[in-house]
Amino acid sequence: MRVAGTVKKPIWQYDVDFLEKYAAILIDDSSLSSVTIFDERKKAVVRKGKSETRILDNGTHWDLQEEVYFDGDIIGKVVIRFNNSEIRKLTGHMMFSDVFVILAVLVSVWSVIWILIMRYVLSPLKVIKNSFHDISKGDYSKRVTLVQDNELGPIVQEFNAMVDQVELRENALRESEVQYRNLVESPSDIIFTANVENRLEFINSNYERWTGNSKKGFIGHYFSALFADSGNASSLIPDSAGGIDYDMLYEQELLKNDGTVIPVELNFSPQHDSSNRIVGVIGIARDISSRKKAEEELRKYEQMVASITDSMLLIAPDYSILAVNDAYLESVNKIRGDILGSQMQNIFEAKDFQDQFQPHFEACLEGVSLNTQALMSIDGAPAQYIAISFYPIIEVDGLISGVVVHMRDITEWKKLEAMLQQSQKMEAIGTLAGGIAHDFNNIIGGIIGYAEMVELFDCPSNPQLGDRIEHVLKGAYRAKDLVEQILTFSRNSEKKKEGLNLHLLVQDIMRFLRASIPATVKISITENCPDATVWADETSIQQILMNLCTNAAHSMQENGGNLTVSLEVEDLNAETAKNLQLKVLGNYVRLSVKDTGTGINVSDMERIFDPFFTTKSIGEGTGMGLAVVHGIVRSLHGAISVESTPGEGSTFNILLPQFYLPVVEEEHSNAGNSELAHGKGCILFIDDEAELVQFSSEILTHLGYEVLGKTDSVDAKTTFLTSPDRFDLIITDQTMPNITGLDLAKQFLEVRKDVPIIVCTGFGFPNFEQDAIELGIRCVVKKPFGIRQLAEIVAREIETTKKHY
Amino acid sequence: MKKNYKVFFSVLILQMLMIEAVVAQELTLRMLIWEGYAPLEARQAFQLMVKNEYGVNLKFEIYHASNPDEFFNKLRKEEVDLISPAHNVPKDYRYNLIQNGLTIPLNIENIPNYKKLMPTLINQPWFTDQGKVYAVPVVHGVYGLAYNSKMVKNPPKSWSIFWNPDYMGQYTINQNYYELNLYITALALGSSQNDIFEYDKIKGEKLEYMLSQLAVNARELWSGFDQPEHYKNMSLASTWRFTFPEENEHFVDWKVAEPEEGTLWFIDTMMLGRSLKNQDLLRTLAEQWINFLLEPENQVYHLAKKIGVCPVTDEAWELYSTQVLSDGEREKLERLFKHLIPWRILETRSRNAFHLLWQEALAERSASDQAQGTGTGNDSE
Repeated sequence: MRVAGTVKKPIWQYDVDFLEKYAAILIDDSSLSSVTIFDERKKAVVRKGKSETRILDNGTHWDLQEEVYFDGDIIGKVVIRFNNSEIRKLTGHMMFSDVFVILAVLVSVWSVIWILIMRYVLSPLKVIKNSFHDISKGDYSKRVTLVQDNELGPIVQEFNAMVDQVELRENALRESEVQYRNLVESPSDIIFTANVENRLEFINSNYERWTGNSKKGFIGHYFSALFADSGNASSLIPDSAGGIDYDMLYEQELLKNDGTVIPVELNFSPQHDSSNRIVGVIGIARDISSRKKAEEELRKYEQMVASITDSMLLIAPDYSILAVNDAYLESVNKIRGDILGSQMQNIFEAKDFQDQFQPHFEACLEGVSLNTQALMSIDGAPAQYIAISFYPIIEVDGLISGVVVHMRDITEWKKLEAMLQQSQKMEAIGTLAGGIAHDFNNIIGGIIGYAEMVELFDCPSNPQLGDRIEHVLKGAYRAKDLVEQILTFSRNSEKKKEGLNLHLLVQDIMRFLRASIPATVKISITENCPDATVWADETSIQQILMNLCTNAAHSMQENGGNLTVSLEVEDLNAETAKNLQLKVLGNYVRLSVKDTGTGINVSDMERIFDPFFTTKSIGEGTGMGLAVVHGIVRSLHGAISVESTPGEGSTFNILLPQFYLPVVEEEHSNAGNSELAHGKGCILFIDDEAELVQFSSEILTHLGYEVLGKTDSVDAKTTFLTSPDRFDLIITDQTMPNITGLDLAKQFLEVRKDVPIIVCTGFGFPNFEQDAIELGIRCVVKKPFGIRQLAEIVAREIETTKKHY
Repeated sequence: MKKNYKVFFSVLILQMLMIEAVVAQELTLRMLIWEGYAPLEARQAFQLMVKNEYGVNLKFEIYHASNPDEFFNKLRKEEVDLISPAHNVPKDYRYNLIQNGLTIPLNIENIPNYKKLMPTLINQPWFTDQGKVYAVPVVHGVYGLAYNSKMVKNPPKSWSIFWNPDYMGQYTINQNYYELNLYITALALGSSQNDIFEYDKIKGEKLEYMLSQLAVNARELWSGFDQPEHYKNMSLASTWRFTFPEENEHFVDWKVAEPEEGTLWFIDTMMLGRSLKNQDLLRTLAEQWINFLLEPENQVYHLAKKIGVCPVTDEAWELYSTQVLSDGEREKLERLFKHLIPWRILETRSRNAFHLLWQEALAERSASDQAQGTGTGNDSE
């Protein structure tokens, strides 16, 4: 195909402009519906199509594909789609002309038929219709007369005879009507009649007297117009009089001419004709203003009680329930009929009733109002904290006829109180831990320093001592890590996030968890996902997995089961992202924890992420696990969802944005056995811990430096200011009595701008390192440090100073 | 006598008019340059010098460029006399400014400061052809990684920080230099400094995905020269600057980072358009203007300090590093210099592929904005 040859070079060079223009030229051919050009990675670089062809084309098309080669390699593909649009256009034109001819013939035939019908049928019928019209208006003197005697003649004669009879009956009816009117005008109620279409035919004069309206304006209209709520009144008789419930009293409001209303009670009777068929209704409206006023007062009190969101019950002295409000019915999910008459003993646990309810209730029957709080279960629901108030009902004669019990759920308030206490406790522990850690760091620093000195100086001649001192050092470094963790906790600082590969981390965590999960639970990890990298800190992932796996194990503790942790990467579509309230589309790592345990009840599902919500017994769980997981996942820009079937198990799915960058493995120093860096120069070493000053001075002296150790910051300042050019390096602790390390450094730098200073700290606060560097500090070292670290840093800083200054 | 008197005055007036015409000769130098490359103080001083030396009123007609295509278009129509392309533009296959005869060689005798250029910038193949010099470097700078030290706790050490979810929607990058955004994406993905210029060495789904994320998650895309207002309420930015002018409030707390992968480096030059071919005096003045820009004071105080770019002559660097920069800034720049990656001339296939990928990333950015129903994507001109 020539096309492939033409586009070979442009595809190789990604010359999209050329490809666009070339495809535009090709698509001008009417037999083509689309041209698509793909690159070597099968991505469509150019796509041209005809929208009108797409509409006509019912799928009859065929594709021509040609791969494009460059230097023997496939670098792309051209796909040309042909269609049969030309044939379809021709067929369309032919069909259009045929339809036009058929329509023209039909119109001609119809015109001839129409003229004949007009002459012999419609004209005579028009004469008859005009006569009927006059007679129907009450002009019984009229009779029908036809000019031509045709097939309609006998019909006209019969009709004229019928009109004679109707005229006689009409006269009799008028007399009857007078009697009827006298009957309905005399009572004190409003009486009206309406036809089957609900249109008002008659209304007595009471209507005008009560409302001030003229009844003429309403006759012939829907009777519902008499009432303020005309929509409802109309619906009383929707189709015919047969639809009315004649045994029912309807309440409506009669509209007065000043805009006010009169409440009325409305009842209907059927109106029959001589054949006993219903031809309308007779309505009687009675004024009920006084009664409505009394009812309104009562309703206000009912609304007041109904609007209270707390539960209220009226209890008789024999503990039977006399009344309850809607809030109570909603809380126990029952209808009023089920509750009224039942005993209070039935809604509480026996012990709760005896300990928490009965004593207060009986005291209240003596006339005393009481309040109490208790953890109770109402009507079999989970236990909740309830504040209960008891109020006696004192009758006119002074006797107590019952007790109003007011109950309020204060569980949430109790939880907040507990959270506050927990938070204050954690803050206190954090402060305490931070203080201890600082002193502990100095102690460990001494241990590490001296142990390393023993390792360095004494072990080469005594290998056995080397093994032992290695154990001491291992222990000391573990203690150092522990202090670091305590400090991190006490600072409550933001944890350091990094690109974390969950592939390996999950396996490590699960190995650790295995020991704490019962042997009856089989653990399996299903993942083959080396790209499962997320932006997170290791501790957060540990917390997530530990909480979810502990919950899963708990749900399987009785019968055992399978705990499956899986990892996969998925491309999230817009709908799923929206449902999970995720702002960013793209690839996410899905971490799933699935168990075959008891599952989660539907009623609990909405609350499982609430703080302190737990289905475990007291002492078995705090109810904070899932709340913590939820919080962590949100802070990592992810989402959590849960699927569960009671009796079959649960699956928690966590979605975290995939982090695409390569994870930089930390460099592990293998300098453990290398020579310590030696050097020359004068060092001023300042730390209030004498042990630290002593061993650091000793080791630095051994490495070739001249060291002046100081334990007093003021003394150190004086020493430096006396001869600032004497020192090649200053090493100072940060936290010291009188002057802090940073303040000391600031004063030194003011005197000698180029003096290199290292600050050691065991209790760095946020941004400490950045602040120190901005001040001109060369390096910040975390305490405790080892000999090797100290030797390297000192050698490096002195060397750097020599090069630059 | 009366007739002679009239002739005398007529000749006198004619002579005055001719002298006035010569004295008031006016020339206009039309320049298409990046914003800030013809500072007002330098222009005024140069105009005075030209007036004194040549008796010419020299005017400047300045247009600001936003992308290299503009240099090519204006040169073809001979609408400009002087342009300021980056070092990789003159021999780029798209323009071939030298071979196509759109620019003319410089007379180095009129640019004595040329010899004072830093050794790495003088007589480079970028600017010369058949022994003739066509372009003279005037400043050099970076497509660097800038951060707001109030918002970013620790100085970033990698371009990968743009993909850190914590800074999503908190950064701004350049819109027009698409290849630079490809380079930093490839660097963040671990590609070597050599490979980033060849599409076939870095292509793949990861690159495309990361590039689209870079475009989608940028709060704003800037064009031309990055302006102070582009930095408002941002945590990160890509920038042309080595340093940030202190006098501008928007630049307070902004610093340039030192990514371990290296920082992309450009050298901006001055070239003469073919419109000057037959205008000897104006051509000489244009060359002397280039020479004037290389004077240490102009390099340091009117270009480097004001814009944040770097001087190109040894003398100017000495002045700049000792008088303007603090010790910390100088050390930082020296560290940065060790990891610079000069822009290269791209092959046709790579350039077109990079352009296509960036267009797709921008389309995804638009689609994302529409799907979210929010206006995260602001693209400023």
